[in-house]
Amino acid sequence: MKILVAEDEMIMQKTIELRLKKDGHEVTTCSDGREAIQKIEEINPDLIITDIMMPFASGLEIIEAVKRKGDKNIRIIVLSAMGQENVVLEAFQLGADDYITKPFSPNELSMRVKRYSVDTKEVTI
Amino acid sequence: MKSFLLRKLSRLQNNILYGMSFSFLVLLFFILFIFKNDNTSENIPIAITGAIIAFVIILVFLFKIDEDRKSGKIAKNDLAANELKYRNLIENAGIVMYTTTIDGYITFATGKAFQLTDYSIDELIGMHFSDIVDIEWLEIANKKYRRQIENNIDETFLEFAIRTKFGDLKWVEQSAVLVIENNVPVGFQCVIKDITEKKEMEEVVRKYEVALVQNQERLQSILDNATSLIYLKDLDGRYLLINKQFKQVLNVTESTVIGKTDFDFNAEEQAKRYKETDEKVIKTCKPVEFEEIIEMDDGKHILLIIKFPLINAQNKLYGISGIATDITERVMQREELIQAKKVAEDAKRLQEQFLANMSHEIRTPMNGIQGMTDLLLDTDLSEKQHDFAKTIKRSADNLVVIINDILDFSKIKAGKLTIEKIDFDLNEIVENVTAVFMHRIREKGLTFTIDVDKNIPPVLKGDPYRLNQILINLLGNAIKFTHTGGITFKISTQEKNNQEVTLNFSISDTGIGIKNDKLNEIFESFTQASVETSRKYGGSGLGLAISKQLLELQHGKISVESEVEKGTTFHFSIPFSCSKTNHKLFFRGKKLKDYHGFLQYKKFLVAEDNKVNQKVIQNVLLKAGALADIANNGLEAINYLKENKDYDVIIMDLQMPEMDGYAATKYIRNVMNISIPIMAMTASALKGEKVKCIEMGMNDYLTKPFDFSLFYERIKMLLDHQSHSDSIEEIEDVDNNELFDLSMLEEMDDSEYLSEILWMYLSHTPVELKELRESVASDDFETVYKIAHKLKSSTGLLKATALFDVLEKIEETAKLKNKNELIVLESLLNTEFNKLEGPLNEYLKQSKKLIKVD
Repeated sequence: MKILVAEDEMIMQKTIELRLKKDGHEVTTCSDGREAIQKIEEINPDLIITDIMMPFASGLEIIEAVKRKGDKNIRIIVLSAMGQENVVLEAFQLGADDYITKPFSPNELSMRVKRYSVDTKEVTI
Repeated sequence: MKSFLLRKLSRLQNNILYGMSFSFLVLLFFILFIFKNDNTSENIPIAITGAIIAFVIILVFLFKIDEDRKSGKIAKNDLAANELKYRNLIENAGIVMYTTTIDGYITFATGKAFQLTDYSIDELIGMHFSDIVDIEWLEIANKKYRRQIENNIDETFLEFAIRTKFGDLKWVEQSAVLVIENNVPVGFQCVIKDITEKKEMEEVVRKYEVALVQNQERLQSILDNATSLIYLKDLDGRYLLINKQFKQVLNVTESTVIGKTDFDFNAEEQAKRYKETDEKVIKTCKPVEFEEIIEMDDGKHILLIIKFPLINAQNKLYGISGIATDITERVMQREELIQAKKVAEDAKRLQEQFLANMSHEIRTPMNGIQGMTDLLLDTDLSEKQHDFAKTIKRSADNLVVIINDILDFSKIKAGKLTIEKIDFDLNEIVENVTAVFMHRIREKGLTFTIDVDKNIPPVLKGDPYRLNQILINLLGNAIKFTHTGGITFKISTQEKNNQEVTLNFSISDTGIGIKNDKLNEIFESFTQASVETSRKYGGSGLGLAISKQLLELQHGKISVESEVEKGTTFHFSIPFSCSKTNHKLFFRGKKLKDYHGFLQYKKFLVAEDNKVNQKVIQNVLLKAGALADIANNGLEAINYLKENKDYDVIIMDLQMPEMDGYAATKYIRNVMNISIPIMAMTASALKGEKVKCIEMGMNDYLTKPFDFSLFYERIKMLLDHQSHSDSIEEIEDVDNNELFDLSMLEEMDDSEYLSEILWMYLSHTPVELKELRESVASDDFETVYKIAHKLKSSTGLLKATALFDVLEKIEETAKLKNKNELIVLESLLNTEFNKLEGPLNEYLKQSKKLIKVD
């Protein structure tokens, strides 16, 4: 799967990137909202993993951008911190598919992502 | 009018016939008479008129008589009818009425009397009134009625008991009217009512009342005799009830309290407080307990007050009750106990301190003597010098044994002795022990047989030092008390499974033996087989006692068999765990010179205050080809490090003046961020020491005095970046778990990734922390929040919970824009991060090594 990771915290970014790369996905990373929206146009990812709080554009705005684009097959997983439940709800309202609370184990992320890769596989078939 | 006439007429009718017939006869007589006397027809109308008149007169008379007779009859009929009516009324109403003569004989009774008395009316009539009355009441009844007669009382009432024909008791209420005729009392007319049921009911009520009163008395008794103050208040806080103690203690009466609230006789503040607790009870409908200090005549008293809700049968809260108990004395006792506990704890601490200090004070010079003697023996000596040196060594060794015994004994008594759990080689120990005694055995011309079971695993987990100690004690005794023959030393396996193996040891000798009655005592401290024994053979008398204690601490057992003049056998067993590690960790008994070049060119920093020990260590290190800088205390060591961080190992004595080993290590790790391995040297082996050492950041430790080969091997391990995991494994885990947990990162199974992450964390975080500090200083709360939030991610990934918590707190506090608190939190943040740095660095180094290997 083509995955776009939007996370401004380096260690998190690296961890997610490495975990997903090891699982065999094609991973692109970016560290702010503006860049993220750009990259969405460029690479057309199957799955976007985005943090909620980021410079220039928040995770929610990224979701909006994706929905505006109109591509129904892009899945979105949101990374939230504890206590940000209401934002998560908003994200879901805007169209996010899943969320993980930090701190999370990389294996958990890996498993969640796998779920979506199955879906997309079916779509392509 | 018509009916009247009709009646009259009907009455008349009957009599008219009589009258008419009679008057007709009279008329006939008249006529006959006239006709007989006179033949005149003029007399006939006179005669007829006369007859008619006579007829009428007779009729009238007859009429009158009849009427008289009739009204009498009617009257009589009326009377009878009335009487019947009356009687029916009485019978139907269930009233029992009866009459008696003046003497009391029953002359008449209504039908219901049968139901009442079971006597039939016929039976009753003629019976005496007293035949019915219950014996208990006879006198009273008789008295009453006699008086009635005497005093001419019209009507009396009496409640009494009667007995029926069958002996049943019934209660009655009787109204007795005195019948008087011609001013003379002739009898009684009584109306009697069955009130048995009523009486029974009264009895029940009475019983209830008695019980009620009794209950009330009991409750009142509780209230009156209770030693606590008890009161009731309604929901408005008005007092409804107070008990005796309440009145006494607070010096009040009912009138001053009942109906009033706390505000009426307490200071406003106090009353307010009371009201608060009242309201709490009402609101939560649960009891509330609290302590209150009140002033009494003899000073301050502490009351324990429990207020609880009063709930009625309809489950409604209707008031509050309070019970106040004087706990002044108890509180004093409590305080005393706390104080006593503190004193006891202080004493305990002092004792521990003393033990530790004593250990150190005694062992340090001993260490010096032994070390020096070893070094001396390693130099070129003349035969005489060598001999002398050996003697010194033997004495020193003996002395050490005795000192250790005494210290051990004190430790055991204080409950402070710890048993090791490390890997060791049993054969090693056997060899060692044998070597110790071989000389003396040969000297005495004894035989020595060793029999070690082949099935014993090569590496066992337990306490080799204590095993050594026990064997030396027992073998030493065996040799001491045997003059001819020999000694047999056997080791066999008793039980074995994958986890554990129990070894049986037996040491038999052909010595002087022990008397039967002394066999039990020998394991007791300070006892020897006999007074002579101690004089002849010496010894502290502690050996066996300590051996026994040591065995028991290791869950082992010891026993002895003996026959005087024949010999003695000591048996003991110890369970050991099977070790997982392999042989390679174990060293063979090497001599100092075998370590030549062992630590070639390695640089050591030694912090030790004792000059002799300094010399010993220095020499030991030099012998192995190492270079050593000696510092006299922690401060000097730090100064050395400030100038040069190029050491491979730091050897840190724990007890030093100016700055001890703990403080120095802490500084080196946390402030200087130096992760050079530190080997602690401690004279004491108290339980807490180990943990403390590791917490401070030391990698390993040795207890003085130590075997130099052990010293070498452990240093080697440090240099190879493998801490002696077995001996301190439990504690290491504890330490890391508290600070951080890299399991999430390790999931990736990628050491390169791990190092990169750790490196990133360790290098970025300080920068972020600096920025955070600046933001706090410049009141930039938004940035503070952002930085804290950012750091949370990675900190969370490393599961550094303490640090994480501080970051969260900072987030919250930044939102509230509380600068003062932020300053405090920021400094705490730095402290927490500093705690992490050392261990994380360590980890980083280790994982880097793995990368190199890969």
